[in-house]
Amino acid sequence: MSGGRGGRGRSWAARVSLVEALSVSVLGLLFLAPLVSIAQGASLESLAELLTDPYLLRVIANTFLQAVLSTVPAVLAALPLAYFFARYEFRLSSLARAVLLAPFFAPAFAAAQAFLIMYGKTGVINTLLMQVFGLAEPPVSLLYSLQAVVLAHVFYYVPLAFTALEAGFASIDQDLIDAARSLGASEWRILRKVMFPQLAPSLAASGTLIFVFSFLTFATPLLIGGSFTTLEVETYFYWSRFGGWTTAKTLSTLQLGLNLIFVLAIFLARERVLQPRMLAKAGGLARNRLSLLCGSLAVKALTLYALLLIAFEALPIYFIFASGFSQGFYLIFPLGASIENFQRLFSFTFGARVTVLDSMGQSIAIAALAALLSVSASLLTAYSIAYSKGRARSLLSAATVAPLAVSRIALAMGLYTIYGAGVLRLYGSWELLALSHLVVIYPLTTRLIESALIRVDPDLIDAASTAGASRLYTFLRVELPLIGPSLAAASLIAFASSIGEFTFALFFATGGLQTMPVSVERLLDSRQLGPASAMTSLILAVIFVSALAANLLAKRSLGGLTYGA
Amino acid sequence: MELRVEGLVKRYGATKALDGVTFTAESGRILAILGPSGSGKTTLLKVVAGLVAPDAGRVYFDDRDVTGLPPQKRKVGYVFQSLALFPHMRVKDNIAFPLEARGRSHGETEATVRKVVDLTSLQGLEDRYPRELSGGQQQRVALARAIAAEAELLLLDEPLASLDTPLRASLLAEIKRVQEETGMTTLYVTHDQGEALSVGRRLMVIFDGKIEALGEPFQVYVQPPTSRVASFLGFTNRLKARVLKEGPDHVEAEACQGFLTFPRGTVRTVGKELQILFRPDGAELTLKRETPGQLEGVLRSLVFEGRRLRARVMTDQGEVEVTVARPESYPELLGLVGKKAYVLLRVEEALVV
Repeated sequence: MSGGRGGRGRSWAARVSLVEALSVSVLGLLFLAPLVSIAQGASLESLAELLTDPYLLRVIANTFLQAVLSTVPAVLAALPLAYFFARYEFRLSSLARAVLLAPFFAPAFAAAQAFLIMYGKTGVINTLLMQVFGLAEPPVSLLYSLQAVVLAHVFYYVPLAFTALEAGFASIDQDLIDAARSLGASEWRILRKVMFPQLAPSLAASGTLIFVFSFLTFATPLLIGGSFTTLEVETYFYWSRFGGWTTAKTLSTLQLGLNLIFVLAIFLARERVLQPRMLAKAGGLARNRLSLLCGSLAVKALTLYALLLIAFEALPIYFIFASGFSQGFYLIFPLGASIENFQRLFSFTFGARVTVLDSMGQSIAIAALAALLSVSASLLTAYSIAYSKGRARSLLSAATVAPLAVSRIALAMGLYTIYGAGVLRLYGSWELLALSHLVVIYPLTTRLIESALIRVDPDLIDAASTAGASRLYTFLRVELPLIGPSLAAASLIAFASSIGEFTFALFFATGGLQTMPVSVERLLDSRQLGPASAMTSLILAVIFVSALAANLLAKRSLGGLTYGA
Repeated sequence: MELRVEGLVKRYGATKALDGVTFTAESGRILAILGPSGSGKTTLLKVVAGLVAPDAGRVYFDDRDVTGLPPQKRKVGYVFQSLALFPHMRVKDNIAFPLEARGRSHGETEATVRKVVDLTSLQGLEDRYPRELSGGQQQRVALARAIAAEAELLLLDEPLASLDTPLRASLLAEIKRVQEETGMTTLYVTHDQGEALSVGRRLMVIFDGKIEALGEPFQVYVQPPTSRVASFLGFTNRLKARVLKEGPDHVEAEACQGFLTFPRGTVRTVGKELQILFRPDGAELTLKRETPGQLEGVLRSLVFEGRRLRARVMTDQGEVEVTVARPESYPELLGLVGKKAYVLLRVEEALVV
């Protein structure tokens, strides 16, 4: 009965393998080759040196420590929140969800910056406390420490854990719980035996992802870690130092060994986290209207908790905008609104050559090229994944998510070695930066396009070929229109990711090339907090609008793929 | 066009979806293909259409060997079980698709679409999208698209499976009418015996990728060639009978204290024992011993099903199911559950193996 996607004729196989070869070569040239060049640049001598350096050993230990300390609270904090949203209905719940997800879409540097604005010496909390209690000194001193990095990570990754766990709760069938209840199981037993096993994969997956991302953190410790650094930051410092290249490459090679394990872990976790909407097909928990007046104490406590956590997530983002659009801090936005920060921003010139407008132009050009390239490459790859089978398919799938789990500093150094220096000498060009963005954006766009392509009913392709349509004709007339909205959504996500990307942007920045996030870093460096907030507000506006539009498009494409009852 | 397939084999892993299928479908006629789900019906259609390559065997369209031909070059109209209408195209664009894909001129395409729309009674719906149509209308669009490009062969895969029962009869008639008007050779796959028996001149029954019956629907229905086909077609009761006497014209046998006489012609093999298969409606339930032919048992249960009753009688060979055509006797019969009952076989409708 099941011809499926596999059982097509021979001529198909030939064409598919051409597509496969193309997508494999994208990965090979932009991902594997750079990493190999890093490993080649490593030396045993400096390895011995590194492994006996107590400072470096502490950095390695710190990197692990902060990753664990970020992961556990982020997952635990998100768990009751996900339950709350899965279990209760209330007005504005979709707005609350959107607000909650905002930090997830914001770039990492913006999350760190938001923490500066919230918890810094002259930040919102300190200003407020000093005014209310008439203090002379800022009472909260949190920044530039392990705690700052960990708290910023928790802030940044709670939304990710939340989406994964909410999908996990949605995959629990209320009928199963009711059945267990009717069979006489206690609530505790139901929690343990029915709900937990269904939720465990989501817990494990979100934990894995947060651990890996925290381990690979760069912008956060760089901006608010102070003397607390991680492997990525240390590697970057070695690279920037005169004569430190060999050490940097050796350190990276050391880390790449670990990254290999990360790749495997992310590959196993990807179904749960990167595409959670696909899972939310089961019945989910029975949802009740939230009623605070007659609810039990537990419900009230849960609601309060949810509100506090939403505030913890939403306020830092809010204050980026608030401090971008006002002088000093105003808690309620329209009061004291001014465009002074923008005026100061646009009159700013970085060094001798780059103006703010240049920086914006470069960011837009890079993002446009990165989006175009990554969507095209993803289309090829998604095709070969959708039409290949068995081991080839999971191998390709794994290779595609790999860039998410690998040190960006290592990739950047590798890209520099192969394309920046050497024959091509692309260093300093915006095209090289766009290429580097392609490597890390490509996994996201591939997932989006792949999931759209997989949802196209194989019968439609068969119907087209019995109707006499060639493969190309079928692609143009049937598949492309069906996945069109997803392609558009992927382009938007790619554009937004590139606009906010910080690590490569900083690594490849030169006197003449400086994207918007790097400009923000330079502004923060020169204590221009207001203009920095103004710039980040612009970046966030672009990102949030793109994310919303992408979400709408994704919904439309889900609806457009079928016509049945 | 006459379709001939020879020795088709298709394996999916360890299972054989097709296991040596050979048959000929007459030009211009409907061949109904009946089988339980998973019997290989859909695979057979896909091999004939060129969507699945067989591991062995050949497919001939009028003596032309098309086994290696891609689906695009086969001129086949295929109505998928899922219908597979293009959700982003209007009705007219769905129907025009095979014409445009084959590079027909704009004018010709438009004229053909109009003709096919008339033939399938889709007038007025040309500008709708599939999601704006009822199930029956979607079905007709799928049929229209399949016949639009003057295919030589029409393949219908469970075309009515997704529809409500009342709609099925009218669409079945519609499909038959369209087939007659176009004169296309047609394979009609279904798991519904009503459809299979009524749709075509010939009926093929397949199990586990093998043809187990092929012939006129009436013949297959009254004389199923194998016991699997028999039970699939409703011969659900099975009894053993001891042979008492073999005459030149008759065979006499005994089962459950009943004496049965079969015409010699209907008994295929005569040994010491006969296997008797009969349908629940191939016997009558009586409460008194009237003739020596009645089988004895105890009325175990009685179910009211509307137009008929379904009785289960426990004999010394296990349970036998009998339908009672007079539902008005339900209250009277209900009182007799647990009492002795007799089953009178209509010998001429039974199968004796």
